[in-house]
Amino acid sequence: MKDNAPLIQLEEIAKVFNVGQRAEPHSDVTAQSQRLVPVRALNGVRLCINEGELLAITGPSGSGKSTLLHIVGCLLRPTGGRYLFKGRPVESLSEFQLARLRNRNFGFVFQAFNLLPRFSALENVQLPLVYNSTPRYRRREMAQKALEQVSLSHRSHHRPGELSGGEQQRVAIARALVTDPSMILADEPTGNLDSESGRSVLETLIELNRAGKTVVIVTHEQSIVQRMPRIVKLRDGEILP
Amino acid sequence: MRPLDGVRIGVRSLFSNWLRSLLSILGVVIGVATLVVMVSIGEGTKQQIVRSVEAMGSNLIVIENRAGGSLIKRETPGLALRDVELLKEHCHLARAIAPLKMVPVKTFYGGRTSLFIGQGTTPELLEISKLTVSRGRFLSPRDVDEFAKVCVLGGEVPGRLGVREDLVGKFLSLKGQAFRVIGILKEKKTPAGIINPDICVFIPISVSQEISEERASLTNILVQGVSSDLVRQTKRELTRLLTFFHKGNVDFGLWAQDELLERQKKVTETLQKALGAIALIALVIAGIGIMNVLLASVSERIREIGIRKAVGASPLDILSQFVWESLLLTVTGGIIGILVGVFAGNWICGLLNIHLPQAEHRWEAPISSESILVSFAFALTTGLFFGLYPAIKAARLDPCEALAYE
Repeated sequence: MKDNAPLIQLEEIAKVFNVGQRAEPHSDVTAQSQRLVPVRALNGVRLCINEGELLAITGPSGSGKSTLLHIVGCLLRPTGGRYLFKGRPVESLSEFQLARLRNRNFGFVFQAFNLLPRFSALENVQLPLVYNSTPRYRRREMAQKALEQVSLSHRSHHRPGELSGGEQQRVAIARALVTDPSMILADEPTGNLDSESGRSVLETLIELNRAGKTVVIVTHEQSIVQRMPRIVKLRDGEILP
Repeated sequence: MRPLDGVRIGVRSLFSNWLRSLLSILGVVIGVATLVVMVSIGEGTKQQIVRSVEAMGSNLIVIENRAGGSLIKRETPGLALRDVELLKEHCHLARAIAPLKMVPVKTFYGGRTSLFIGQGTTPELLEISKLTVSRGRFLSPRDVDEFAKVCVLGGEVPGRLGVREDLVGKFLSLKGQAFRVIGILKEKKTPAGIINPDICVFIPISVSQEISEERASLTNILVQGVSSDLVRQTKRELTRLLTFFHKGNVDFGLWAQDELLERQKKVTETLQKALGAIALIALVIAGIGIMNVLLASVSERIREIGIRKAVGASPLDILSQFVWESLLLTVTGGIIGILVGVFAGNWICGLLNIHLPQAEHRWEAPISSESILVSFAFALTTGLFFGLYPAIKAARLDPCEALAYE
């Protein structure tokens, strides 16, 4: 990492989706939908996130919040602009290098939890460790520790279907934590939860930030936004001043 | 990702859809088992043919009559009994020589008429064609010299005449003349040289010439060489001598047992290749089955692939996960297929031994390590080839689209 460089630095980031090509990856693409319609999801976004920050990205639906989060998390490549992670450009990285970057530096928390239904909580949490060749015995240990951090060690052998929504989301947070990443990226983490569970999940995320993690939360819930020290507002793919 | 993790993930996902996995394994099992059975049965058939041909004597040379012209008016005399005498005198590479004169004979016994192949011959045939007498005796030199009206019946002849009693010593009518049965041969079940002795009636050569329309000429002369290593030389010698006796007329043909062997080996090899091709087609179909299962598995797990990519799986990790699944299916199918193939091969041989009982040889299904290796290699190749496309498809999925997939 270059000294003094921010964790994330986005310069004039643009993302254009060619709708039609993007429709249903596995359905038959009809001749009509093959006509590509460019949709501008992000336009000239400049954003700087420093280590240890807690921020919310907010805005109406379709404003590009999730796209921005996916670009930050290297799940999506921008179509224009420059992205520096710890001072290093990301655009030139190969798919393999991007996967490694995601594995080591980002933990994702999704609205729909995205746990593997056939795997126990403990196995779900171990998943990122499989892809950085952590030995098997270490994986269990680390996953158990991550589950303790979200107060779920007693539910480690339950499958997602046997857990409540709030518990599932905490398992997802444990999975995001297990590789000790620089950043937690949460996409509407409370969207599928009742207010009580939502509050508990939010507290967990805030707690993590206090412990030193950089946390970015995409949300449109005012109750969350109010508690955030920094708010980034998006509209039509642009950041509002 | 460590390879062992790939295997573990593969096993897990195959077990989670065990019925589908089982069905696709079945395709591989059938393909591999067919390949093993085909190769081993083919090999068994080849051995069987080799052994039965060798049982006739690998140093047997058959001389055919190829006299030109019509049956009524021969342009050249063709083979005659005189040739046999001369060959016996001059050919030093021949151990035994027997003439054959084929005469179809209408046979009448106990109110029943049947048509058999009469073979006029001499006592030497017994040794040359490796025939065994089950009751009575074979023709003697005296029978030939004295024009004795006696006959020796092939093993199946009494049965075809519908007779249960012992025919030795009884008289039967051949071509309207009374012949005394002096012996009955043991059933051989395999052709001996150019004749099927089981359905022949053997009579002295002298008598056969008497009762035939075409007196002088012989159908064949069978020659047993002194050694199977000298077959070529013997053939050359016979050709030279006969051409000389016939004053340059090559009105005969010669072929040796080993040529027949070669020909039959070629036939079995062709057959084996054809059977192998069928087995390969079965494997290709099995491969398509595997591809189908994996494609279904990829479509069902788009979201899972998205999750795995989000937590740091590289395209190579995803690719290897699906290739492992495919390999696990084919390796399991391959191992079971080989076991089934070995078992089925032996079972089929057992059936052949029951339904085609043979005194001399039993059918065997030799399982060569080659056939097992080849089948297994084919199964693996099938797995890799047909598993690769779904795996590439999975590896190329865009993580965001995969995560958003419902």
